[in-house]
Amino acid sequence: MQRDTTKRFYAVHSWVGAITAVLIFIIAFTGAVSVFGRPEIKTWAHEVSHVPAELDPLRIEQVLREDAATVPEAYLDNIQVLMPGVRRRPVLSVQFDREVETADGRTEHHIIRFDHDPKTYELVDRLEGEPREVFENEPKDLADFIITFHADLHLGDPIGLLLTGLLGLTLFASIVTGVITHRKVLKEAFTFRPFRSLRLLFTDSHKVLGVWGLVFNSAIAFTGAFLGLAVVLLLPAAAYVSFEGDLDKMVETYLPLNEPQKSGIPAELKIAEVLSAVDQPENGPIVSAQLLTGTDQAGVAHVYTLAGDGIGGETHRYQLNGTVLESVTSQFSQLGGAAGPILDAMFPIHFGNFGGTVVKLIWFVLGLGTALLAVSGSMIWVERRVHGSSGSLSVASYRRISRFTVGACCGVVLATVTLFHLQLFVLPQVATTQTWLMGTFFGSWALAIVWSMLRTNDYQTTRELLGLTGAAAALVPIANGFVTGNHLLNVFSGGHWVVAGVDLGLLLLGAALVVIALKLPSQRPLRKSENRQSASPSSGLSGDLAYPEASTS
Amino acid sequence: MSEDTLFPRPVSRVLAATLGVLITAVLITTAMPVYVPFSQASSVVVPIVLFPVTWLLIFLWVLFEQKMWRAWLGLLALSGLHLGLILSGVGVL
Repeated sequence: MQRDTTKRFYAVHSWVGAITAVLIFIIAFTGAVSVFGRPEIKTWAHEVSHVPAELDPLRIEQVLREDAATVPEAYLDNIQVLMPGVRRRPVLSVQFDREVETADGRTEHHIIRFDHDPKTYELVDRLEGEPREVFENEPKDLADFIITFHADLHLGDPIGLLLTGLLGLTLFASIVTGVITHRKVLKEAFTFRPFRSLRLLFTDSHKVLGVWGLVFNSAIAFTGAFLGLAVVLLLPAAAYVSFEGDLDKMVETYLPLNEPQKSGIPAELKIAEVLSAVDQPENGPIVSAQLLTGTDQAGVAHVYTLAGDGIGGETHRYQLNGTVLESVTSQFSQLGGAAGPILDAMFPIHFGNFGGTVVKLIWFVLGLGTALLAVSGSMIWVERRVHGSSGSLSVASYRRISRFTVGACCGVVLATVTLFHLQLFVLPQVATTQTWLMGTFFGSWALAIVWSMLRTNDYQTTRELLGLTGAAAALVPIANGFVTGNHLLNVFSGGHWVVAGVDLGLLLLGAALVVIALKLPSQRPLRKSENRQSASPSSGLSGDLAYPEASTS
Repeated sequence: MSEDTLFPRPVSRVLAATLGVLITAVLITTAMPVYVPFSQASSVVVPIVLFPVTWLLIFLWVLFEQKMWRAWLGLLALSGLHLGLILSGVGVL
C-alpha cells in the first residue's frame, strides 16, 4: 500500500515535471538573469550610466524647479524624482502627475516626464500622456525585455501573469512530490558520481540540484505563484469580498499615500535638504523621491531607498521644512500583524535584491540550478520512454519531444545572449526598440528550435548550440570595448565597475559553455548491457532512471 | 502497476485536478477573510499568501482519491460552501 502511494507521488512528480519542464526552464533561466537586470544589466545597456553619477541634491533641486516652471500648476501636487542608475532609470527623471476626471466619472492619471542626462543634467527627452502610454512609448532595453519576459512571457496581463503564477504552483507541486518520493534526502545530497557513467551523472545531478536547491526552489515557487496570481486573480477577488469590489480602496488600505492637507500658504519647491538627509552611509541608495503638495508649506516628501541593513527597501517621510516625520523599514510594515512582514518579504525573496552582490550571485547560481533541475527531469522522463518500458507513444514521438526540449532550452539561452549584441549595435540607433528586441529574441530562439528539430542527434545539437552561445557570450565584452570604449582592461581608470562586472560574468559564462560543449559526448554513450540497435544516437539521457526506490544503487 | 491503475478515470481526474482545483482554491481564498480571526488587512493577505498551500492540498487530494465521484463531490461542496460565504459577505444572500 505504501509502495503504491510512493508510486503515485512519483507519477505525479514525473508527469507534472514533464509537462511544465520547458516552461520552468525558460522562467527559471530568465529569472536568474533578471536578478542582475536592475540596475546591473540596465547600467551596462546605457553608455550614459556606465560611470555612476554623483548625487548632487542642489543641482537636482534646480532641475526640478526648471521643469516645474514649464508645466501647468495642476501637475505640481504630485511630483516624482527618479534617480539615475539605481533601479529602473538610466537617466534622471522628473515626473509630474495629475488626476484627470474622465467623461464617465472615473479618474485617471496624466503625467509629464522630463528625462535628464545624469551627469550634465541636460534635458534629453520629454514624454506626456497616461502612465501606461508613456511607458509603452519610451525606448526599451534588454534588461526591461528579459525581466518582463520572466514575469509574463510577454503575454501581458492577465494571461502571462496567470501562466507564470500557475507555473509557480506546478513547481511547488513538483518539489513537494519530489521530496516525498526521494525521502533519502541526506544521502542523495552527497551522492554525485559524475565519472561512473552518463546515466548516473544525470540522475545524480537531478537529485543533488533538487536537494541543495530545495529551500530556494520552494521559496521561488511560492513567491512566484503569489506574484503571478495575486495581482490578476486573488487580489481582485479579495477586493470584491472584503472591499465591496473597490480595488482602489484596497490599494489605499495597503499602500496609504498619506497625502497632506494643504495649508494654503505657498512654498517654494525644494528637495535638496531632504535628499542630503537621506543620502547617508547607513541608508541604501536613493531610488526615488516623491513630493506631495510640494508648493504648499504643509507639503511632504517620501524618499524611497534600496534595502540598507534590512531585507526590504525603506521609506523616509519628511516635512518639506526638513522635519523628519517617520522612517519606515518597509512599505507594508505599517499594516501591522502578519500581513506587513509577509508582503514586504515577497519581492526581496523572489528577486534576491537584498544583501548586495553576494546574495544576487547566490540567487543567480541557484536560479540556474532550478533551470537545470527542470530540464534534467524532463530528459529523464524522455529517456525512460525511449530506452525503457514506460510510455504509450512511439519512440519517434519521444525523440521529437527530446529534440524540442533541446532546441527550446538551449535556444532561450542563445536568444538571451543575442540581445546583448543587439543592445550594443542596434538599439541605440533605432526608435522601435521593442520591435527589434521581440524580433531578435523570438527569431533567434525559433531558429534554434527549428535547427534542433531538423537534426537527428540531440547530443551533437546540444554541443553546437551551447558552443555557439558560449562564443557569442564571450564576444560581448570585446564588442562592448569596441563600441563604448569601456572594457575590462581600463576599468581602474574608467571607473565603470558595474559594466566590467557584467562583462566579466559574460566572459566566464561564455568560457564555461564552450568548455561544456567540448566536453559533452557527441552521441549517446552506450552501456554494455544495452541493445546497440535500439540505442541510436538520438534522444536525451541514458540510464537506469526507473522508479527511484530501485535506482542509483 | 500502470499509471491507469494508479489513477483511475484519468480524463475526469485531470479535469478535476486542473480546472476544478483552481476554481475551488480561488473560491476558498476569496471567502477566507469572512471567517479567519485576523485584522482586515491580514485576513485578506494571509489566505492569499497561503494560496499555493491550499491549492496543493486540494490538488493532491483530487489526484489520490480513488473514487472520482467523491473527488468531484468534495470540490463541489467546498466551492459551494465558500461561494455561499462570498455571496453573503457582499450582501447578495
